[in-house]
Amino acid sequence: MIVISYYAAVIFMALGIYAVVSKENLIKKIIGLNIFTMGIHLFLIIIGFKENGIAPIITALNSNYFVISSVDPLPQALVLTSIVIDLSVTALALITATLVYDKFKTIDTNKINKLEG
Amino acid sequence: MYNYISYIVPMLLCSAFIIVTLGHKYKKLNFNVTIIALLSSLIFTLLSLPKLLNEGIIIYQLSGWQAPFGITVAVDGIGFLILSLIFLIGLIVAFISKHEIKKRRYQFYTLFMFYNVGLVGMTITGDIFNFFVFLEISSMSAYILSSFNRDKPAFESSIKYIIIGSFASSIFLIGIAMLYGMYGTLNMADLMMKIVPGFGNNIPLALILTGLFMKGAIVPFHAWKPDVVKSNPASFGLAISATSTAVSLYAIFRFVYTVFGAFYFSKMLIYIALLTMFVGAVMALQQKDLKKMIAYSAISQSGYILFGFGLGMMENIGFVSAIYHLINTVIIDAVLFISAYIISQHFKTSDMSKMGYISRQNKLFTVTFGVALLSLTGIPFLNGFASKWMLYIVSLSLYPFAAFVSFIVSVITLAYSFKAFHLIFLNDKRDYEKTPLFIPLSHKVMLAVLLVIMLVLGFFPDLGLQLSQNIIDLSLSRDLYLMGVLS
Repeated sequence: MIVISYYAAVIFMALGIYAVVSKENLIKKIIGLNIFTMGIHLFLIIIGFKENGIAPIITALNSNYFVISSVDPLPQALVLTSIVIDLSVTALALITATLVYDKFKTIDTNKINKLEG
Repeated sequence: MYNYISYIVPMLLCSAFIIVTLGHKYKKLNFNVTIIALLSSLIFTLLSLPKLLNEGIIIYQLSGWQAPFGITVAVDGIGFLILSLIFLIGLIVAFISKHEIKKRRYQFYTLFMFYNVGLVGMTITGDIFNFFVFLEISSMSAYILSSFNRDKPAFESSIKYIIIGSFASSIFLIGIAMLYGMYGTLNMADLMMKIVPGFGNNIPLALILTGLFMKGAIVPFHAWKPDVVKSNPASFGLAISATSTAVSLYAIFRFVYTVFGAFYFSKMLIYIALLTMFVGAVMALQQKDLKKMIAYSAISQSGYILFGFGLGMMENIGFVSAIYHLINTVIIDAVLFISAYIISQHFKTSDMSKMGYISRQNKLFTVTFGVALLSLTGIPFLNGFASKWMLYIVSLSLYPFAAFVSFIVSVITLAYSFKAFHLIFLNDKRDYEKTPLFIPLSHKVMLAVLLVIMLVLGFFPDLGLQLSQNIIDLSLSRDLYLMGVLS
């Protein structure tokens, strides 16, 4: 299970990098960025994952086997922060893309570069 | 002793909040709040100097959580210098933008305060994920600021910057994730203690360095910077050229030297530095646009600083020359961007081929700009000379080829400086004498002060050398950092 998830994370990252580098459509580039970040988030989550782990909340019942059986809560906190950052960056990028479309009447990066030199 | 450093970030955030809520109603408030916040941050930084000199490093555990679990604020010698530079350059930027930004001023100042918050946080934090968050804060405000003019070039540069920048931050995040997976900690000092030397460390370090290179516009990843500087106000250009590069170079030092202790990276840093200075200078030679030329020249100079850091991994004197060159470069950048504002205001364009003959209108301004260009090149008795000379001397004994390349780059720098000086000040294709050159009083004062500093540092290079030596003495001890944070 964990190995498959690592492969999935790497595939997500590779797909994202491919989309950012090779696509000429701005929206597709932004989607590629999102997929890339999702791959990283998955990677972070798997780092803290344990097979058959319990939720990282200490109660009176589980305190003696908590350390060996709970999943690592820190990566989840990191991913939460990172998702918020990613959301705002995506929103900003999309707004800028619409403004670019208003000015240039296209979202093809090659044409934008040609127009502006 | 009382701890002042930790008040700076909340204070800057509060000032941004005041400007964004009240700024568009009370017009004068924007500038005044910015100046007050930056000045008091500078005073807080300077007040913590005795603590730095006494203890060697300023440590503060945020909200009392001990080091591996909480976030630590750690400021050493270079960090102190970078903080002072951020606030000084911030004050200069505020004074330029007072005349330059005519509309939507509250937006500019709000975003500029957020930008400073990010840079200050990156400098003082001792936690790598916290570093990432502050990196994103400063980057996001820079993305928005880079479309401030709301015309075609501005939007094009902005979307380019957003895609390259957020891609770089994501790469940085992979580095952090790998480090956490390998060593189970995010605290820099804790990481330093737990790191086992080995080949596996190179991959996260390389990913982190890639992110920092993009943020600081080091050469393979520099493409966004000239466009952003060209299509935006000169004041934002100064902010992004001087302070952003300084902070990312400091972070490179912090990661490679302090955290990883990867002294074998010196050769790679030197190669990248040579590439940076060469490409920056060659591209600057081709530019017709004044702001773009200054941006490329700033890239080239950041190559020299990185070169000094690379050499410093082998001989500590390299760090001293790098810090000295950092101080010189920031001063020269400030002069060049203030002048760029004045010149492009005068000609209503920043295209150098449409300029000419300012030398007849204002002699003192001509001399100041000429001195700045010559000290950029490294002419003796001006401030850039001593630091570049030290870099040559240090590299001559270690890598003679690198010394040769950096000398060639200095010659190219001289070439583009002369080209710019000729086109702007001496070229008399057209008659420009009808409108007098307007320089606001605050700009005159800033230029005069910076000119005096350049000449003083040029004639008495020992002053700057002594200063950088003291700064380096305060920041090279890795044991002190480790003990200070973890005890």
